[in-house]
Amino acid sequence: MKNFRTFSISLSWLWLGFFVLAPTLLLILTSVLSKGDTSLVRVDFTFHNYIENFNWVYVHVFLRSLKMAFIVTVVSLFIAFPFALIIARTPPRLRNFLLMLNVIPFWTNSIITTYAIMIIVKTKGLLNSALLGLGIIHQPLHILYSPLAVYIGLIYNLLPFMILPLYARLEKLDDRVLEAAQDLGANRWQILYRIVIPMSMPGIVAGCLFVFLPAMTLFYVPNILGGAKSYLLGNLIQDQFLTNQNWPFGASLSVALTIFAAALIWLYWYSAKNTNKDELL
Amino acid sequence: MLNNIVELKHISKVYGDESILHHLDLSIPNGTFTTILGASGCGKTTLLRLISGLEMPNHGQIIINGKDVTDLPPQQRQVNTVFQSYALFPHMTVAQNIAFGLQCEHLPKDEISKRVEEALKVVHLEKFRDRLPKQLSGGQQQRVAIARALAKKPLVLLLDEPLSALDYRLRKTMQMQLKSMQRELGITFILVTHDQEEALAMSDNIVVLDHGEVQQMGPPREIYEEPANMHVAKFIGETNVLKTRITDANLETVTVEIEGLSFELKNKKGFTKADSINTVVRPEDLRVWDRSEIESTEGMMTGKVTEVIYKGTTVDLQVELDTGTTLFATEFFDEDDADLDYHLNERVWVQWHPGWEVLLHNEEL
Repeated sequence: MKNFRTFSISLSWLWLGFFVLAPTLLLILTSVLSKGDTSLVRVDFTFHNYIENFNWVYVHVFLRSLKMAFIVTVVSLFIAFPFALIIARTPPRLRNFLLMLNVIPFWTNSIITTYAIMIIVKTKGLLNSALLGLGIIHQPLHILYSPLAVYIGLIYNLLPFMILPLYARLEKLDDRVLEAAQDLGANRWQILYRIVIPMSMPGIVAGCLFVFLPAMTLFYVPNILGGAKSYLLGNLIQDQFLTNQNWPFGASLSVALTIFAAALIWLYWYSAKNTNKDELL
Repeated sequence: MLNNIVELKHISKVYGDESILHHLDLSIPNGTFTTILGASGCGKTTLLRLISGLEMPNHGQIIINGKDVTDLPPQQRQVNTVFQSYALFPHMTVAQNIAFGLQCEHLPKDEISKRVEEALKVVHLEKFRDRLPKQLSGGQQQRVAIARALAKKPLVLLLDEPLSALDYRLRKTMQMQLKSMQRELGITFILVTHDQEEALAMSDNIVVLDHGEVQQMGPPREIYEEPANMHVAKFIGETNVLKTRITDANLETVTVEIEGLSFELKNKKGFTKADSINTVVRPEDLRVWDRSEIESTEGMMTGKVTEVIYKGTTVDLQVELDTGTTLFATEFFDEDDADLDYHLNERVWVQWHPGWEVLLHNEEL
């Protein structure tokens, strides 16, 4: 038994070492090397890559990614909150079914689901045929290859990451507390704004992090659905590695993004620690 | 002011196939501390939730302060509840919890802070106003829940087993505090409990609820000394139930045979020879004698001591009569009997103070 424990613990450490620690260290190492003409990298230590990060072209991409991720997060929150609230308030049997409906697309390869969205929103796609057929529009909508298509793709792919942590919080909400609020004279809106939302705040913050961070980097969504206007940070990094063959620069962008993400997570932990330690997710 | 602050008329409540309350009528006198007493599952919490508006009755009418509130939601009823689990808002401080109900009414700010201060004072929590609920002990949380409800200035305060989560000593203290709070504020308190001792200690008025019906309502003393039926007699306090056969009955007296002995008792309830009855005697009304202590054994039941439990102020005895019936007796230390000295298997003679017995219809329980 003890041997098994030692074995399984060392296995997970080995796993983490090989697939997390080593690649990260390699990435950091690569980010301070120089671009090679004949080889992938040239061993010539420099911080030039990081300085290049602040070139306006790249800052612009970063700011645009930030803006898109922000919009995606806010829209997801507004869609997911009522959704999670409804799931949490339905009887347990139906609740599991609704959760499953939510999780199935989450298990499906997201490239496949993104292609599915393409089929729906393209000029001669399902959406346009339906709307034209119903006579609601007379000209097909040009959604595909516009930022709107990228928003739809990102929100669709990331929605479960928002719903699940929200649901986890809302499901734990004590009925008695809501009854107490009613008893004290609170109407529906007062209960929502003063009780339900504040009490589910850790779930809201967790959901926002889970959506915000990937939204900046899901490169295949703009690749499939977007045009030049929705070039994300993720696409920039992908292109450095695969198209421009500038691995050191791509690595430096990745490291910068990781630091940014870590800073956001730290901010969350820090604020959560100062308010409610035991409610950390 | 009206005589009855809360009136329930013909109330029925059904959950699925299960009938919780059937055609219940109940009037609660204004300004009293009323306790609804019953075993778990008797419908007492449902009754409270119907008054607060958190549940709707299937039939019947609920009147609060002369106004029919049957169809009104909890927000529009001038009653407030102290929940069993306190149900405090965990993200709000003590003061914010208390202010919440007042903010919902959109009262002016200075009125709110005035009322919050008053409520904090009533429950002695002035120093804890900025604490979060989880930084408080159970008893303190309980007091916040009471303050939060009282700040609304309700006509009736409903308390759902508010003391059940507290330890014995704290419970005793809170009982006294609740009682004096009610006396000072003068508003009606309706408390639900399964603890008969608590009910007897705190109330002006006890409602005994069983099987979804009101079995008896009255002051504690009346409930204890004159139980209306076997349900009440068995539920409140310890009792000895003696099988009784009526051999003769007239308007004043009834002659009965109990444990092979004949007694002539007052016929308060107009029993006739055809009635099947029980005689109920409280353990503290039984006197247990040693042969040397008495001159005559006439009208006394004989038996032997099978258990002696020393309780400090009293000695509890279990006596097995020669007829096979087991009786429980509580003997007090007093000047008549300073050394209550009983041995196991000691032969004893048992009697009760005539007139302290209660005759009740024999019901299958």
